[in-house]
Amino acid sequence: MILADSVRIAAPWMLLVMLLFVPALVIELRKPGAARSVALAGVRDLQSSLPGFAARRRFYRAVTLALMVVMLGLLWANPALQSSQPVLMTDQLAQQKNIMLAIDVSRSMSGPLEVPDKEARFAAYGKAPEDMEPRQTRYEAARDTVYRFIERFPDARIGLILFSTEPFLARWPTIETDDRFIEILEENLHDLSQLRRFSSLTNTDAALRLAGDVFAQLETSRGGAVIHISDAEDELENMGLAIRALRSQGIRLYTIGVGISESIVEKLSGQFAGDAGFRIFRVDSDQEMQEAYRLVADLEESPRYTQAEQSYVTDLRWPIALIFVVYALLALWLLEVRLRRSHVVHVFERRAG
Amino acid sequence: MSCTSLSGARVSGPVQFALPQAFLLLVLIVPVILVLRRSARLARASAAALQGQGPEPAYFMARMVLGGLLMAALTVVAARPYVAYEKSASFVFVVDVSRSMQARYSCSEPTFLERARRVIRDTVDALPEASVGIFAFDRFAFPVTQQTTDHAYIADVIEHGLYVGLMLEATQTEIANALSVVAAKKRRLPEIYGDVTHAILLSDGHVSGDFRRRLQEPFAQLADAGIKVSTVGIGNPEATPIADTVSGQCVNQLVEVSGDTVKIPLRADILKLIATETGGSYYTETETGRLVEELRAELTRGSVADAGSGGPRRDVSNIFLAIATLALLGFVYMPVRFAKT
Repeated sequence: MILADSVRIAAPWMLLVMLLFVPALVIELRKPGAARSVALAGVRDLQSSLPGFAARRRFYRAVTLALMVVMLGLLWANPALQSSQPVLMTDQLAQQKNIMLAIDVSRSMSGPLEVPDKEARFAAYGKAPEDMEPRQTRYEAARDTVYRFIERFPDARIGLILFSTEPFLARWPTIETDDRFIEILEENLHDLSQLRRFSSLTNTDAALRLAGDVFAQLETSRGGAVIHISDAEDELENMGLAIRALRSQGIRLYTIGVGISESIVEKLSGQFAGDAGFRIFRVDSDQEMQEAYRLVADLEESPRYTQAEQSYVTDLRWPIALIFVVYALLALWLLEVRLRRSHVVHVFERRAG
Repeated sequence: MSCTSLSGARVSGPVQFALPQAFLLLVLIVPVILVLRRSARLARASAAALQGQGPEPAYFMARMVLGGLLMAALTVVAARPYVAYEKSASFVFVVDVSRSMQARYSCSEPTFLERARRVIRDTVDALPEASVGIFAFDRFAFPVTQQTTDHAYIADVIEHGLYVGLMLEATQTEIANALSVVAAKKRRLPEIYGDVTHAILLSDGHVSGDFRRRLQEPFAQLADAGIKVSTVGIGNPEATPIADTVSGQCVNQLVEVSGDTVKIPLRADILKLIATETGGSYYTETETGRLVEELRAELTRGSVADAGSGGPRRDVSNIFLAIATLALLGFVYMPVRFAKT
């Protein structure tokens, strides 16, 4: 439950613990001689000579006790502070930058990232595949880029979509990214791996829609970014719609197009010219891929996006307990010494009640 | 030293503290005792002035004890107490997300997949100390979570990340492939799956063809990898139809093929075969408690704890908070009780 943007109460129902102390507070505030009290010879005379009967004193005592009860209730309710910057003894990031990585695993991604020049193509004629110098595939280049992103944003909540004819939510966004999703990405598109069997055509807009759906379901989502790496152009109209849908959710989209046509880049760039939340990069080499990665990472690291989308949680239970310990000493002194009710009068009063 | 927490889960040692400096506040118990002693003196003086009888010494002693207890318990809460669980085993859940898992008689009933989700949720909740991963499978099988002790994340994935049609081909249930993938992941990624010795397969077992032949290779791979498979049969005693969906919404119309209603039987025979051949056990979906018991038995003798890796922590502040609450209640209501005697 979020009460305010900055304070979150984990167990608000535990505030009901305070009800246990309501009778005690009523007793403190109850006027002597009220309905259930019996007139006791001499007690009224004591009002002037003994502490414990003055209305103001009863009020102060009740307030002192009430503060203790409120602190106890808060301890049970387990509040936490959410802030954009870590504060003293902050435990965890509550709300991380959310990033969805959408990687094309269609058949064409198993092709080489860099198209060999004419000379190399001629030299390759007649050679068996195993004799050819291995070239980095588009998928491998995309995977390396994904690894770099994950390493660059260790505090981010990152999810993974692999898409071909249909998108597959391979990883619900997680902050545990130490293994860089190697459980899935270790497979490649060369051999008879599952990814190879999974791969077929490219359906970019379905992948982007799925990314949008995931963001919509994320409890802590306050925008975020989709990094989309693909070598195919979907139908321009569909892609435009999918981009607009993401942007309407406040989600930024970076498309790294491996070998896509200039015209697509120009058209999409033109359509979203005034929108800083959409960028498209055309890459044809590993160097360009790395350059695109650096640009996107730099943008995402900028304070503009980082501060707005990151918040820290600080457990407030222990500071409240610290304050409570000190306050308890003060409260006991007030209740038992400074604002004390004479035990004799107190007992008389109780017996009368 | 090991002890058992309230939830029954084993923890690796006594209570530990994230902020032990808070114990410096224990010195405040001394002034509290002085305050309460002064309070007692004042009460006796008042009683003497009125020529009455003050409360019994036991009354003041009890209040002093309660006051001290309140201070001590609050100090412990401030010190952030926790216990660390033994992390002694890692499990993977292998969940069928093929189309047959949409089976149910009507839209008001949970689907097989929803029932499988409940089994995972209950099992994971009962094993807070376990490292858990989830594989989803239909025709393909992929790990859809990392191995994690973050069960809140697992709950999120169960809720949002497991659905029919997760992968392209939802029309086949390739249990053999799924088991092969689990064994292969352990072989190829020992740093992630090295501790996994037990997989829990949740499925209706609705496979076609010569499943015995197809399962022979995975059985050998699982044996090599040192993984046993327990199976949980999801389904009904009689074959169950599939309530159709339109645009993701269930409609009270059953799926038909060539005019015949598609019905999904629970193939307990296949699931029992898998469990028997791999050294695991077969459970019905109502036997989560028994499954948890078996998994917990493995937690206590696992090897990961011996390697000294830390497991998840459990905050135990509430125990000390309860003590503080009782102390304050006693302190506040004691005069009332005293007055009645």
